[in-house]
Amino acid sequence: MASPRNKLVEWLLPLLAAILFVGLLAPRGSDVAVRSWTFDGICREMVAGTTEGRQALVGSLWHAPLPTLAGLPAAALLPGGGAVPLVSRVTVLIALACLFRLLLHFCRRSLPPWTGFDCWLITLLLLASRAEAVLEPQAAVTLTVATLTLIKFADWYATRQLEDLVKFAFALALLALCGAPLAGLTLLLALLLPIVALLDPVRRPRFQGLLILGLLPALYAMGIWTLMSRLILSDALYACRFLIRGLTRWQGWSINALQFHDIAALACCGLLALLAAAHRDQRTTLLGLGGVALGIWILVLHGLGFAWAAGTATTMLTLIALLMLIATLQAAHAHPPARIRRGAALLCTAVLAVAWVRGALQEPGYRSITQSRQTRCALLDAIENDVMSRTPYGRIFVCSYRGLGLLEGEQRERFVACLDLHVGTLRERYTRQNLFLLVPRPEAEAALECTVWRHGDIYSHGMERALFAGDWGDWRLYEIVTAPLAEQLDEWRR
Amino acid sequence: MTRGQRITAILLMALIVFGLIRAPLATARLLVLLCTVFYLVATIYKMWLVRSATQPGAFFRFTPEMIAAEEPREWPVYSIIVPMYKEPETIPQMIAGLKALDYPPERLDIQLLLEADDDATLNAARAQVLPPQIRITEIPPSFPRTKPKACNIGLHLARGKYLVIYDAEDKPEPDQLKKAVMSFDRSPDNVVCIQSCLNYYNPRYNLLTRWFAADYSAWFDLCLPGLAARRTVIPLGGTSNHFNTQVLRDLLGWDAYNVTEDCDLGVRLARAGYETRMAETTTWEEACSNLRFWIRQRTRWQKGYIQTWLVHMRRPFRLLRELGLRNFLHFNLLIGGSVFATLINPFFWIMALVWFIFRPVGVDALFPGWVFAMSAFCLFVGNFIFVYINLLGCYRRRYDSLMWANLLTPIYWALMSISGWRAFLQFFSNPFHWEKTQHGLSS
Repeated sequence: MASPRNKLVEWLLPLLAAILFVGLLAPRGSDVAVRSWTFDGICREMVAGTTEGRQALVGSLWHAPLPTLAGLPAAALLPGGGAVPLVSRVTVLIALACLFRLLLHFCRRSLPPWTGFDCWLITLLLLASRAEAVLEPQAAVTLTVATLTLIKFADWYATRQLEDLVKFAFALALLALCGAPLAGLTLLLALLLPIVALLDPVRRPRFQGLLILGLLPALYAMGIWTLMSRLILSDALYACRFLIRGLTRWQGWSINALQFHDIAALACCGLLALLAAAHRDQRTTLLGLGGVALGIWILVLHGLGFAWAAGTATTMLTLIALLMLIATLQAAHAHPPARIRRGAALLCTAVLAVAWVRGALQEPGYRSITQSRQTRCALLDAIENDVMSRTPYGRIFVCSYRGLGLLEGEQRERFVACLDLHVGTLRERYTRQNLFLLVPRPEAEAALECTVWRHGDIYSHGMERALFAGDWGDWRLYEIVTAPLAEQLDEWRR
Repeated sequence: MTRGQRITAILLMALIVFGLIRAPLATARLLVLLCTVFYLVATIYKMWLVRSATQPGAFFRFTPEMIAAEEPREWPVYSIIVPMYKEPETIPQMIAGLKALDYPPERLDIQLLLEADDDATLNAARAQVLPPQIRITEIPPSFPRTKPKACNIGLHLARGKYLVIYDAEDKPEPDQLKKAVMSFDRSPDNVVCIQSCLNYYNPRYNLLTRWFAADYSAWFDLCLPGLAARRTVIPLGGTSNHFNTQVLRDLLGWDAYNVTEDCDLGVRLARAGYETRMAETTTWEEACSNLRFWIRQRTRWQKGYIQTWLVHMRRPFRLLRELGLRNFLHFNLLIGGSVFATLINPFFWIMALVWFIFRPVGVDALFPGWVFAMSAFCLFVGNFIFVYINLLGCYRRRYDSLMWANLLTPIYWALMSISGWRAFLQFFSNPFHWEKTQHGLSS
């Protein structure tokens, strides 16, 4: 049994590694920064108990509930404008520490201790090559939960223990609450459970019980999400409405969508899975199946036009390749002679290393956060001045999740975050004021929000009773035209 | 209740009423906060218990090979007491069950405890050809007319080193006594009680028996083993508890006035420094299939829990000293907490329903910030975990076909709250009344 001191070291080590990792790779890509600001903005609104916060919690598959809920304690403990941007970093740190802990545990259980340390270093390097996809809270939390789910499923598959099934079931529920980035993996695991139960003669008689225990938590989690969406947004399927748009604009399958590191990881998964299948190592074969499924999921995301969302899946694919590598080394260690296994593991290590070097040599295209924050302030000042020059009674509704990121850390009364855009309701609530809509360019997840599927892409075409009022790069301003009240007419006449 | 307990209860009530009059919002918020914290602790506690049930020390497990390996050996004399009252129809089945026990007959000392004025049962028993190891012990009519009083007489006349109590309709697994002896052999000296698992032989009779069977499976197969693994106080189940006879005599047997004398005895054992363990062997009982009788049975159990909690909390500091802080907390969460939960549940369910349907403004004000977060966790996660634990119990018992019915467990909780409130009111009006469970309804 591990002593308290050993346990402390076991936890401290991953935490220190996570701090180093985040610290060394602190300069973040602009996309990452935008998503982190949005995350901070959602947490801030949630802690403030606003309707926008609650809407943001359940209203998107890309800003899913679990990562947000994971960030809430940090947001509540670090109040105030200056401290709020720390929330995402604290959340990333904790999530990464858990991920490292999980991988260490997997390594140490499978291999002699010294090899575990090696694998841990490889993990760090691999994650470093995918830093832009790891260093934001949603991705970090999702990756951690996905790794946990996959390991627990493999454990249950190998041991048939009830405890492992329960852990897998709850991990799957958490993964379902992580939303769309790894939805393909979630679906695959949910489908694999009944298949495994049916194919295994030992499990087959307990099929009904296994199905209920294994899938009920995930179904319940989805049910609660839907219910909350119905209660908060009056639309149970609000977060999924964008899918219609994606499906109607299917771009087809294209293998070219996969980048070099995806192909490298997929090849490793395939090779090691074949090797494991030949040696009847079902656990490793299953991990390989997860890798292949993720490759397909990346292609699906590209086909739907959501290529921008494939980062988490790509990183997960690399992690699976690494887990398989560890499992293969373990099998080679446990069942000698293992010349072929060791050779395959060496080959895969080389392939992954090349992928890593290529990734590291690529131009990251970083922009510092400070510069971006200054840009944000300047943008808000310019819009505010423009509106003030038109009317002293202006109120600007900043649409989309990006709006929450734009307003993050800003105390500006004239700007109001707005996710579920109902112009009629806004008019009723803000009578006697001139209303403006600030709409983001419909890129990435902003293209999937209600401003697009409900109002037909107002960024490009405007909408009924909304007149174009200005263009600020990625943002456009529209003024909502209302018939003046009698009192206003009198005032103007005077 | 002692005078001190009455005064404390009255003062507490007065304080709440005074607070609700003078500062209604603040008082209501405080009450909601306390209840929410209780729910949160109870949820985490239940999860922890179930997790503990997977530990190696949760059960004594013996395979048939292990039992066979014990032979030949001198098995100790085992006393079995079977209290019965107005149950003549169960006599043949019960005697058949006792004869089927895999234990040397000459080492058995079985007493049927029959009330002297219960002619029907007495005649039915006398009509049977009883083997030499079974004898009838007549209980003279006297108050209180409770099962524990009869058991105490049986204990006084028992001749065995170990003693077990069975109900009339019980069907213990044949090798249960041997497993109990082997469990005692492998335990330290302070283990004086081995609790067997209880379950039902008619779980599929109707929806109520399905719920009841799942509840029992979760309790006896997950929660009690979890407690045993943690070496803590265990509220004993009604039957199939195997005792060291001498220690039980030293503790003066059962409390004749307590309507859940088993639970009370479990706490008294812990107070005296003894331990209880679980053995993986089952006694099959009949699940009450009639709602009216089920509520009466539950009422008695919950009233007994209230009695037990109040009796032991007469001197809380002494209890704390005797049990230790860990067991003291277990006792309060298990005995007091379970009744408290059934009493407050209806208020929170109604509040949640009203909030979901009508969205009144006032309800929001009762759940500020963190209290709302904790309440939401208890509502959405906690309740689900309690249902899931019942499902786990079903799965471990191989009751897979009962699992769908248990998705409706919240209705069962509502029934428990009805019996909880009935028990609470009956505790003041008729504290020692024994509402006897009617058996043979589903045969």
